[in-house]
Amino acid sequence: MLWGVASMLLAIGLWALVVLTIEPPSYVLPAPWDVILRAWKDWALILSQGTSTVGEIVAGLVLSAVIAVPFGVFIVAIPVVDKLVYPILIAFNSIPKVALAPLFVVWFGYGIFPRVLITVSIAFFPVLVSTVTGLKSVDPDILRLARSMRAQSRQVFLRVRLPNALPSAFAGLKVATSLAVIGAIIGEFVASDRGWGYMLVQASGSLDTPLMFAVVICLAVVASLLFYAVDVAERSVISWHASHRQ
Amino acid sequence: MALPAAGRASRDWNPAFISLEQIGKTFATDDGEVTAIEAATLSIRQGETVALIGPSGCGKSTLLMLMAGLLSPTTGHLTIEGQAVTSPRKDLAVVFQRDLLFDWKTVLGNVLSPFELRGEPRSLHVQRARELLAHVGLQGFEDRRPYELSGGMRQRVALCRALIQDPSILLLDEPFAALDALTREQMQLDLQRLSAEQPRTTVLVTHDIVEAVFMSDVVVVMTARPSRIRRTIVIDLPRPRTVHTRNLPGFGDHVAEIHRLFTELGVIHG
Ligand SMILES: Nc1ncnc2c1ncn2[C@@H]1O[C@H](COP(=O)(O)OP(=O)(O)OP(=O)(O)O)[C@@H](O)[C@H]1O
Ligand SMILES: [Mg+2]
Repeated sequence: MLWGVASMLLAIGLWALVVLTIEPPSYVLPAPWDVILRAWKDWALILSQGTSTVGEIVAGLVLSAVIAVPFGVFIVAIPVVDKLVYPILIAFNSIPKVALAPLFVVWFGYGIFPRVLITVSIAFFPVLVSTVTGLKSVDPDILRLARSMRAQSRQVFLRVRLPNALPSAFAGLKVATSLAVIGAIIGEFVASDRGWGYMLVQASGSLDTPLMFAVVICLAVVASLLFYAVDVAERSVISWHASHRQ
Repeated sequence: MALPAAGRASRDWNPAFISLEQIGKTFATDDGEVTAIEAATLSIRQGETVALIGPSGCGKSTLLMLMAGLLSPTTGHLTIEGQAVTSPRKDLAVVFQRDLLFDWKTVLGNVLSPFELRGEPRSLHVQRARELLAHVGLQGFEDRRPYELSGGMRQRVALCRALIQDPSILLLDEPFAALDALTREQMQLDLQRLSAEQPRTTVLVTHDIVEAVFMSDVVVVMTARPSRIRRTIVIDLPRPRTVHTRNLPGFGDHVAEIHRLFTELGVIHG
């Protein structure tokens, strides 16, 4: 925590130093204090636009997890689905999802739905792939052990495969957290009249660089907090995993 | 009907309980076939403790997996009570060479996991699980996770997880390898005591000649790969074995005999 604050201060210090020595025009690189003053002037606007962006990020992330994890279980539990559907999903995953955003606008217009959809389409796959990988990567000796105990396959799935997949699923969820932020912003670039993504486009049009900096910083803060929340959840759910032992 | 104490006298009339006839096992690998076991013939009688001893990689674990019904032999016949072994029997428990504890379960949860995995209620066995853990010196560790335990403690949990199933066939793959000499000796005595409560056929893989002689009614000496059974030695020391057993003249003789065999085989050389 202390180191986090220190490195933050260092970054701001360097930024200020660059501005003071090079003295770039404010629309290229505003000084830290310019950004703070700009944010102060329009804090109500930033906050109100932020709620819609943060809402999309959180909704997109939660939906991704809630759909991808059971779907991964479904894929691994039924071998036919695994063979038939998984390759399609992997193929779909290789599409750059940003390219779909204009298509979603055509289909669903400018509401919150297409924006959340874009977010989900980006954040969904890492959760799915890592869940599937986790479910499949059980130590074969553990499966042998279960067989020697004459375990029911349903119990093996619930009590061995599922807990075994949790660390991997959480790793996927962390990747998805960063991607959800990207998804929401892209959605607002393309399909919105509100939100921080929309504000960025507007501010860019009027060369309001200090406002753009303020919004980007807000986004970074939100993304960090979200990542931290997932990390806390992970710690409490898989405290037994190597990554969390002291 | 034979009890562990039956010893040599009963071996002649006592029928085989576990019977291996010309068992061979070949693994297909990327670099061609690996013959782990060439032709193993062996009979194990009910209630006996049999030790498999041999150099590393000679196929001891493989032989145990075959008896467990977790692998099938490439050649030969393997029967238990006259029935071909195709899958793990109901009355069998295995302790693997690696402890294979479930990281996400507590120590108690690990010991109770066989019932859970069979979809049976655990509650009937909680008391017994605690007793077993106390027996092996793990009282107070019931709610710890495996990563908080030492290698030897983990192996003891794995042993409890097998014993709680009260198997009539217990297959142990180097269960004491990770223990220090003192704990190991205690565990050897404990296992004998825990097994004496109910007649049980035990097959124990070990690297340790002294352990093999101390624990067993029969020691099976295996050669290096592709492995064969070199000799089966009947250990006619009185039961129960105690801390004084090691001082018996017969004990040292058996240890020396097996040692000499390994020297002849070139496993140990000066
Ligand atoms: N699944 C497998 N695939 C290929 N080869 C295998 C497999 N399992 C065992 N082997 C080979 O079979 C041989 C016997 O292995 P095994 O594990 O039974 O030896 P071991 O006597 O138990 O050795 P150790 O005392 O070191 O545990 C080894 O050479 C090993 O490489
Ligand atoms: Mg082995």
